[in-house]
Amino acid sequence: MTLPTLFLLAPILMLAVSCLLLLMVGAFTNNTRLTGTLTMLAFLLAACPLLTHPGSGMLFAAGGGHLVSLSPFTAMACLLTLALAALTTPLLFPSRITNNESRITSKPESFILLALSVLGMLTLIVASDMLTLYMGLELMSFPLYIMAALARDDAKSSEAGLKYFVLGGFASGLTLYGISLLYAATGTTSFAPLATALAAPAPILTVGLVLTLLGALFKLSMVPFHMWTPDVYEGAPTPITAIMAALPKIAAFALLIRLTMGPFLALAHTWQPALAMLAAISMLAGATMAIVQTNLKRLLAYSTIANVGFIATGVVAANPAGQGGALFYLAVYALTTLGLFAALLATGATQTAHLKGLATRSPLLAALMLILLFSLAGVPPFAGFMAKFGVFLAAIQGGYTNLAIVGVLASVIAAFYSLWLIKLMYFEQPASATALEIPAPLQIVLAVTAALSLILGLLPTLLSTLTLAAATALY
Amino acid sequence: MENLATLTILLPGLGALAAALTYLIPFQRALPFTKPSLPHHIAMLFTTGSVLAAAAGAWTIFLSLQPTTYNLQPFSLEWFTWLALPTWQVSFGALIDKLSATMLIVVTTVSACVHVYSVGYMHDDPSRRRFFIYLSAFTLAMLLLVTATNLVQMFLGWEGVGVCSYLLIGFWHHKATANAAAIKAFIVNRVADAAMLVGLFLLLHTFNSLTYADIFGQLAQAITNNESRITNHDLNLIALLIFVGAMGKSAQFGLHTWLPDAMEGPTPVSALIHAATMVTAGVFLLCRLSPLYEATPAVLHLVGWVGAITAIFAATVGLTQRDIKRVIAYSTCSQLGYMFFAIGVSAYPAAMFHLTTHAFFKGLLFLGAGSVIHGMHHEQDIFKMGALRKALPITYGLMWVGSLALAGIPPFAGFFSKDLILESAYMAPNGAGVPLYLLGTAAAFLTAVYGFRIIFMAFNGKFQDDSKHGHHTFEHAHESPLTMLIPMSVLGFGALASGYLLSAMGHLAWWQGAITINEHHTALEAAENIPWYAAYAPLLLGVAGIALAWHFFAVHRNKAKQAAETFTLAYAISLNKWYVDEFYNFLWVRPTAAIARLLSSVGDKLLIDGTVNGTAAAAWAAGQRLRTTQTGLVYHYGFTMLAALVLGLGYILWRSL
Repeated sequence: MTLPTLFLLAPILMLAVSCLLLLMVGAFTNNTRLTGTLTMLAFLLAACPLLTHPGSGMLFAAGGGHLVSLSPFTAMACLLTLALAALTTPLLFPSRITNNESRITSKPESFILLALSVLGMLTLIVASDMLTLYMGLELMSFPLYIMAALARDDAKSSEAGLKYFVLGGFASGLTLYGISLLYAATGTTSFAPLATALAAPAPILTVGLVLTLLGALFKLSMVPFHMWTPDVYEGAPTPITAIMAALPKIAAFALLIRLTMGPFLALAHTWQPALAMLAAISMLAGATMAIVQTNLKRLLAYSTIANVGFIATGVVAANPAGQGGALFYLAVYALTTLGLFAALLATGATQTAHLKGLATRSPLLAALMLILLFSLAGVPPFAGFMAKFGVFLAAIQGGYTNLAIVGVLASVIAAFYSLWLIKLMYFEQPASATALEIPAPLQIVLAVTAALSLILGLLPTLLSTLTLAAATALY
Repeated sequence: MENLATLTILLPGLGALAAALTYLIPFQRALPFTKPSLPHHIAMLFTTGSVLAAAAGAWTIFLSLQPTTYNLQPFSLEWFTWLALPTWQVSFGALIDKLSATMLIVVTTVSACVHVYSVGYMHDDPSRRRFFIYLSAFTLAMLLLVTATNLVQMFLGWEGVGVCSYLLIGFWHHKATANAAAIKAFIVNRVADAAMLVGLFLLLHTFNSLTYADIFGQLAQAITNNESRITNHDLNLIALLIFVGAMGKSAQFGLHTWLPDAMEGPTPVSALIHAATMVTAGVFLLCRLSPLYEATPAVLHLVGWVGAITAIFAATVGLTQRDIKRVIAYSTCSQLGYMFFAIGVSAYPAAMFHLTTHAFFKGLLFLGAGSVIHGMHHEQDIFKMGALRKALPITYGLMWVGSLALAGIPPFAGFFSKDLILESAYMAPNGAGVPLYLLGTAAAFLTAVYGFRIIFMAFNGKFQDDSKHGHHTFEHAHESPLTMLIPMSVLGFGALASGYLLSAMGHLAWWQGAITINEHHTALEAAENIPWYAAYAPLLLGVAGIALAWHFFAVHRNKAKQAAETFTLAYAISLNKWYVDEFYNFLWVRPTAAIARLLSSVGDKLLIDGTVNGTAAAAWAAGQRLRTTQTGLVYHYGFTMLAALVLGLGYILWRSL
């Protein structure tokens, strides 16, 4: 192992070292603001080598393959994760105007847990062996379990943490079972040899495949592995929910794409229709259940489920346009979700009714939310439209026209709740006319997400050429 | 030069954006020592400044394109690709050639004048900041329209100017009439746009591209190779549908009804949008698509007739209207008719030439009318004016310049361009344009009459409103401030000299390939060989019209009244605008309303609402039903996962067996 090869791992190594340093800083100074700023810096620093030297290669030979592999695709996914992670940190910052929720999460340990979780995500993205994959999955999940239960005095938060942990543990147990079945059949856990071994189909391999993918599907909250989502989203403190809704989805989708394009490519005839089915059900069920919610966080949870279905459409297409479109959609989805959760934090609203007349209380916040909601609903010229357009087009090219049709129908249903929230904000009378003051960190998040939702809608090629190139590198 | 072009086009947008940002700054709270008018002044500074800078940029580009100066070659630039599909893509950019450069100077010059003028005209309006933002946004949309390299960007600008026009007509939204006029303008334009959209889709279907260069290239190839892929039938339909869209925007007969009503907006808006720029977008579009229209002579013939009918129709209506702005609005309608019939005889350069000169003199006339209205405390009825020449001497002089240009008296601008149109029509091959020439010449006579009717009624004679309120108004009538008079003078110079200075525009060679004319359509080339009697007839009739106006409206006003009483029917038809509004009311609006009511009660409430609400209710019910699966119990969730897994796996395995 020469140094330049190890340099490929620089982002992950840097973040790992940063985690330790942050732990020290957090423990000794107990200064939230300092830890937060350093965490953000750590994310941005870790992204630097990806921007300057995004190399590709294999590392750590083991079992006929490698533990880790890097490619333009992983670089893109890591970059998106790190950039969005940096954007989530302001949500955890303390500010002059705080409500109870942010007081709970504004602690040094929140940032350290976030950094650890992101470390897990990066590991998951670059994994090239089932064991690396499993380690990344758990490293990503455990801090999230803890974070969900961060409001220890709150029964709902504890319940959310416990629920997430039990069901997550259940899912990773099944994943591990799948991995061991694959190992039993092929004698390897590494992606490259698995890909060759899986070319000859056998029932045990099919079972192994399905069980392995289940871990990713659970993290993605695809129907029918979605049931934890609304409960956990509702129970967890809002800033944590924002993180859970945005970041792990990128890592999990990157994993799904790498698995389906790597070891499981030969079994495409098995997973492609199955995933298409799950995508269709997720879109329809997510969109339908979202429209009856009165709790905003639950509403967004179902919106996540619907969006995951849309993104999966791109994965099902199994062509560069689809995977690139999925990456693009992920970025847009994560931005929109972060922005909307930031808006919820800013308003302190938990129920849909709390948004009534927001436009009169804070025209700016309402306008930013309007952009984000339009983007979520997929109204041109906002980014959400381009994202949906991209994956549906890819699905049609990939021969899944039916799925694209279901997708369009589901987005019509999904548009309902976005427009309904807009109606509440703009056409209803507020319960109280007091003007809202938005904390500065949230202003940053809101402004950045809304601006990007517009810019990526007007100039989608800024990102879509990069994601397309990243996806093309998979082939 | 590329950067300058980009800057010129985007500057008004940046100005509007900067002005809009003043809404975010709490001036009174942050800077309590400032006056409440500060944000308005900042907004005016940004918008007016940016449009003035854009005008400077536009003139630089325009002059650089002249072979005698910098000899810049026409170029196109691409800003970014918005949509990239495997089969076609949509890019945003700018095409700078003689055609767009001409539109650039027209739009930015008139817009700059109107911005400066509005500083004075709107000085006491409490929401003038909004007004300036709309004006600049309109300018941006118009520039995007004229410099587009493809029809998608063109259509975006087309709709953009429509929206801004709607906002500006309804600017005084506390007035019910203004709101109604704004809605009417929008709906009539939507009807036309619907046709145009179909035309654009057909175009895309036929050529698989909406970029001008692609379309014209394929068209030229198809014509030389006599390809059957692009049939005449398709082309005729496309050209016709796009022309219907242009008719709506340019207020041609049949779709003109919104334009007079649009005068509800503030007068600077009428000058900018409803005289000089937006309404000429249709003329511009047809000139831009000249290769297409040259390939469809049948549609071109129709364009000519629609133009000629509009010219004469609007001129007759203009004779009897009482509202000073409505007279000028009908005049605009009539002049746009001239441009279309020039296009109808393939004299695109003449149409563009008249578009340019018309922008100056009609802009001037509107601003002059605004000056009168401003001086008369918002009185618009010319029957309640008179003898204003002493109170408003500069306005009076400038109105003379504008009206002489409108009437086509040399050496004023209108003479050069209008005569070129009429001469081309007369000399069109096979005498096809002679009827158009006759209609146009008759309209030229009427133009002189109604143009000077305004001047003599408002400025000469004695004051006509004998009521106490009227006397009060007259005594307080005052000349406008310099901020209004200077832009009027600039346009006055244009109305005076642009015809002579820009007369090269009347030749095809000047356009450097931006306009294509079929070699068999020789009307424009032949215009020089017109017999003397046909050449001088419009001028003589114009002078006669002025003399008639003097006789009836300055010297013997009672004679005009007698004439109206003698020719009751003619007078009534003209006063009621040929009953087009009533006819539409009878033919479209009321049946539509009746059908709408029927559909609303039966179709909509029962069927559509039933279906939609039913679907929504079904989705809702499904949501409610599905919701009950969300029990909150971990073992239920775990069981669901496991059950789904087992079922799914079982199915997959069973299928693979």
